[in-house]
Amino acid sequence: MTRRRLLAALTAAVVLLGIPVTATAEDGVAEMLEHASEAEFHGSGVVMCSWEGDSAAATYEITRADGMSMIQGPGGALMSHDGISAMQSGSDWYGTEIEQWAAWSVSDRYSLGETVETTRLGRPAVIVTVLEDGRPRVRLILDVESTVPLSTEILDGDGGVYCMAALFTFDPGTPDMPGGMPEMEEMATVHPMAEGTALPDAIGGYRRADVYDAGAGSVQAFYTDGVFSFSVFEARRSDRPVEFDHAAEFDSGGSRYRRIVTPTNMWVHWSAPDRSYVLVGDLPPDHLTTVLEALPRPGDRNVFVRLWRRIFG
Amino acid sequence: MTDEAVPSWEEVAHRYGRTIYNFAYRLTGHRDDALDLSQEVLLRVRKGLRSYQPGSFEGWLWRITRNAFIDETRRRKRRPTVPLPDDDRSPLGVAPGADEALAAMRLDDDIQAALLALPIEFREAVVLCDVVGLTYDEIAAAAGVPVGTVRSRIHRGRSMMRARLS
Amino acid sequence: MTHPGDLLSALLDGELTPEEIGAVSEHLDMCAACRAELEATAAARTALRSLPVLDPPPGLLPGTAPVPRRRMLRPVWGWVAAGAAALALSMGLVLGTAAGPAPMNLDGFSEQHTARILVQPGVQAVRAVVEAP
Repeated sequence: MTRRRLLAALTAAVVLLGIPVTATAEDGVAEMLEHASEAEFHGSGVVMCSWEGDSAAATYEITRADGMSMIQGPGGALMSHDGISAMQSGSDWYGTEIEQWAAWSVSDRYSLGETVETTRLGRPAVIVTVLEDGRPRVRLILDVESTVPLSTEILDGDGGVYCMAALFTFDPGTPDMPGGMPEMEEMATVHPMAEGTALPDAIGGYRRADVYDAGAGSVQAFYTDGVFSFSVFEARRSDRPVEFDHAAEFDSGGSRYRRIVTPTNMWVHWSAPDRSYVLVGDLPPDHLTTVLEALPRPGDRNVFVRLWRRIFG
Repeated sequence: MTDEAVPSWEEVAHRYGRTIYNFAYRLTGHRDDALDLSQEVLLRVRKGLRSYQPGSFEGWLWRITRNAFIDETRRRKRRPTVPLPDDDRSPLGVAPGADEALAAMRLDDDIQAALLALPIEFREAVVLCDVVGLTYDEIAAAAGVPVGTVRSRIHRGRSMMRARLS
Repeated sequence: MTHPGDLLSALLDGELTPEEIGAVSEHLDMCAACRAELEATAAARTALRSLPVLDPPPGLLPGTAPVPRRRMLRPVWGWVAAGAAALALSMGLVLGTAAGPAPMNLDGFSEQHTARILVQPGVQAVRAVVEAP
């Protein structure tokens, strides 16, 4: 496999020669992320996100083998294989199947920076920096032998760490995995929608890859730049997520939003004049600011619009 | 960087000058002290390079840096407790719309103040680990203490920081 | 084992031997207090690592012109106090244990978003998703 060879060559150069290597291949980031998501291992780690006054952390266990991933977090287990993910609730499993999805590609704003050798968990490792327009955005420590990221740090626009994940146990090789996906109590299929939303095709370097039906009149617009991703759920204005009632308020671009920070994601809610929105994703705060500016702004419905609707429906 | 040719003084200053300055600033909390200390370190490096034997260069460098700091501390006996916000932090930035920048500055000041409240051994270990980015072995070599001590200092240092920030 | 204490920082820094890691993980599995301590330690560590890198004043480094000042920094964090509450709330939210009826189905949103990100590589998939169930 070409990309495997390329990465192997890259890391071998670093390890053997002990010199910093700059990857110049334009698609270096894509190859690295893809490769990192293929390796087989078992590990446990800690993950946390923090933004302004909020932070959240959790420990987890992860096993990857035979194209299948199993993650055990504080609230249960999640398995995923080939577009199907299964979440455990009590002793039952509930499945979600994505029917189709756009091909993955990494925005050309990302490139690989310097690679520096180090050790991590007692193993040879390399520190790899992913640059966004030449500035550090993600710092990964990769296990040399398997290329599994032992540590991931996501930086905000000014270089501060906004999110980090680190494995504290790591066991490469072929771990034991259940023979296949579990028996599902229920299986939900996520259907694409051709013309489901007026949300923009592209925002702040992210492209709208897919639009899905999210049930009960809601629509999911999935955006990604190949490294980070977020979904914007668009619902009726009257729909209100009660979980946000006591969530922290924050200002962005002169408008008020509510947010909840979880160990791996940021959740934001606001109501625009016509629709209600929930955004969830792992994008860094400075990206989020740009994205929110390009989406419908919070605001009360214009009095004339209300009058018009009341009269003419 | 280990077991390689002896770098020139200019190379050391270029490559490590900024890190040495940041180490000094986080330990002292004062720009002037940090500058004095960084200059002292670079002076010692210049002298020491003549007799330096190729080995673990970074270990050597941080031992010098750390010793310079300890000597300074002993010499002065004037240790800051909580720093005043640095006036030169960003006089230009305190212009319009700077609320966010000011808030960020205050947070950084809080973290710095919590750092300065740590006993010196803990502060040193935490700064070498989290600001400079040394491994525990390198910190142990620089500070001349066993790795177990480094481990304990880093953890206790972080715990104290956390207690102070909450 | 007794509470791992110091070993928690070493764990985050990747400084433990495989045997130590085994013992600590086993303990973490059973001890909520140590999990909380690990999370708080991780928070303090991240706060320290978020401190801006300052430019030395001109004249310190040989042959350097004054470096333009780095632009002011992000508003990351004054937390820690809010940490525990935020964690409880967010976990409740994403783990589907939030009380009361939710006119907007956030659990469903969470599942759909998670399912979608899992079909592609990227940082989220690399970090692993811990909040989806």
